Amino acid sequence: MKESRKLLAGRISKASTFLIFLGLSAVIFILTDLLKIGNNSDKWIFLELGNIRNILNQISINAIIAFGMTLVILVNGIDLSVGSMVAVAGVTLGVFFIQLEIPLLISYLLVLIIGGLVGFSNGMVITKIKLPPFIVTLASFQIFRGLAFILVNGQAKFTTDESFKIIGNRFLFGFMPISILAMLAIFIFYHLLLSRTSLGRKIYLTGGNEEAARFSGIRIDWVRISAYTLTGISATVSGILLASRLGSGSPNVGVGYELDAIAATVVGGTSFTGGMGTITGTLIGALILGVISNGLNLLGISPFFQQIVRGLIILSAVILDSRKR
Amino acid sequence: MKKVFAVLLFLSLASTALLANGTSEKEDKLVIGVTFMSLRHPFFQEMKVAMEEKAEKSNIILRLTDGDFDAGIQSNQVNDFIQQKVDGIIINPTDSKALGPSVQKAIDAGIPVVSVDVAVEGADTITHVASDNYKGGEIAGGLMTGALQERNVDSGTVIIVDHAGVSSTQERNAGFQKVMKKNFPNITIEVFDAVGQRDRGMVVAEDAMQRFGDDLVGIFGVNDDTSLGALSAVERADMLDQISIVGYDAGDESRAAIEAGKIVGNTIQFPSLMGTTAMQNLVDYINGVRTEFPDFMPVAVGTYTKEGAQITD
Repeated sequence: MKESRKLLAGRISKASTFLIFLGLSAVIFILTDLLKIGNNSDKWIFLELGNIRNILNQISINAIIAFGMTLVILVNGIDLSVGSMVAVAGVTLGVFFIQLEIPLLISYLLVLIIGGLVGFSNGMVITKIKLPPFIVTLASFQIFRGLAFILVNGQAKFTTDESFKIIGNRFLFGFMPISILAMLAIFIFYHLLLSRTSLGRKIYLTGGNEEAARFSGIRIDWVRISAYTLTGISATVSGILLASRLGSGSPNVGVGYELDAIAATVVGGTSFTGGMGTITGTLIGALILGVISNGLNLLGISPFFQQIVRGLIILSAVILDSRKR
Repeated sequence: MKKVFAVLLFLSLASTALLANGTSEKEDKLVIGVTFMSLRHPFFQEMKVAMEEKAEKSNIILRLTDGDFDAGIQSNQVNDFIQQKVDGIIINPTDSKALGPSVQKAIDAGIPVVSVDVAVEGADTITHVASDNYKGGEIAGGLMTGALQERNVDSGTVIIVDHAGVSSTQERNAGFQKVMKKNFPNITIEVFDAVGQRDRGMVVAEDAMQRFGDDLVGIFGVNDDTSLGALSAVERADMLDQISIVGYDAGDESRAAIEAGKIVGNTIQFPSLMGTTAMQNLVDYINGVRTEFPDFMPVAVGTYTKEGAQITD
């Protein structure tokens, strides 16, 4: 009974989040393309194929991290270290591929393994030493960022080798950026994981009712650890895409990404107390945030106002969502 | 008054030190303690080497320490300098506020302090030596002017990819705008905040290209990261021949982009000059050659283009 109510709530919340997304897009469309605020071109610049691709490309980095963040928040946790992991991924890729000249695909694999281990270590400390996830990942947020700086002596690793730039810049079939495809593939993976596998069910149960989960024989520690490990891998995928897009592995990137990922997850209707939420919601949440920041830039809103507007929209999305329930 | 008191205290301490160990090398050689926020960064390496060369020539003993981006470590280093009774301290703080109390403690102990590159808040230092960021912005405006004139562009939009809320970059921003407004009355300047970061710089450049289309003729990034982030967006959109990019600081990656003709040029700082200027002023103060110092002593900046580095007065 409770299960089905939760599923229903999940559906309603997704629908309302999607309506918010459509409403926001409509407002920005009217302001930029019909009223021509902030620009004087005769073409539409917001609702235009190039810009839609631009937005999807921009949100792919955040969305992929946020998919992982959703798992962690579903098991009643939090991961503040994802932004630092993005930096670690970029610089380790730089060290492997640019400095040590390890072939690109093997470098990717090594970086992904490191990302998984880093997420795994978060999960181990949280579950085995039994410390609050907020504190543990606040610490690892600092540690990973420091490691990123140390690994490259504070200097970005850059290359003129074009193969490094393919995954973040190249279009497939002439129009589809690889980043967007990667985002969709990972979306499908996480969606199936949550809705079709036993690990998915265990994640919901662990976050929804830990006691019940434990009594029904679920090894909740391992469910948690899996969530953190997958988040580490997600953040690493984003780090690889970002490094490729920028053409360098820099220890300075990914600052504040944890907040963007948490925002996308929460705006997407995932409950901060765990157990309730969907990957589809998170994708829509990431879209909302992406459309806001793109829209505000197109409208020429001053940077300081942008932060306020973004905050207010996050707040109203969450309020609207909670009312619907 | 405080300064006079500090000098008196310093003189009395110095004289007791002289009386106490009559024939130590301190007698004819000044000892200066230096703490850097980090020696790993090439910027500070360059500063350090220049200071060592100057010390060699001027018969000064330098005690160089690395703060490792940690205000706690730097605070300990300042305390060590007080214990060692050095003649003066040069500090490049990793945190302006956090180091205020330790630096004031040194000053109260009669040790004169000069800050370099980053100022110390809440301490009565002799002076602060750093690059002239406003001038640097004007130089960047000059580089942009040259590039646009070469392309015969006199209208359109130029964007600044900024780090809002940071004083040094705001001065760069202001200097740049002043020159651009004077040289191009028909060009509009729009400021986008990228928090000084590369990934955010890329995103705002993408949005700006979408918003202004062919109207966008130039991008000024207020540091290495913002200009390089914008470059990756412009390069991907294949707009390099329509958008001139100017940056600041000329790190290795920017230099490579300048040599490849992707970035017009950068304003460049001279850390070596910064280091030697700080040292000279401290020594002048200790020797009583000069007693009045302004709060801020700007150090010249220059340009880095395909032709290499050039200092501008």
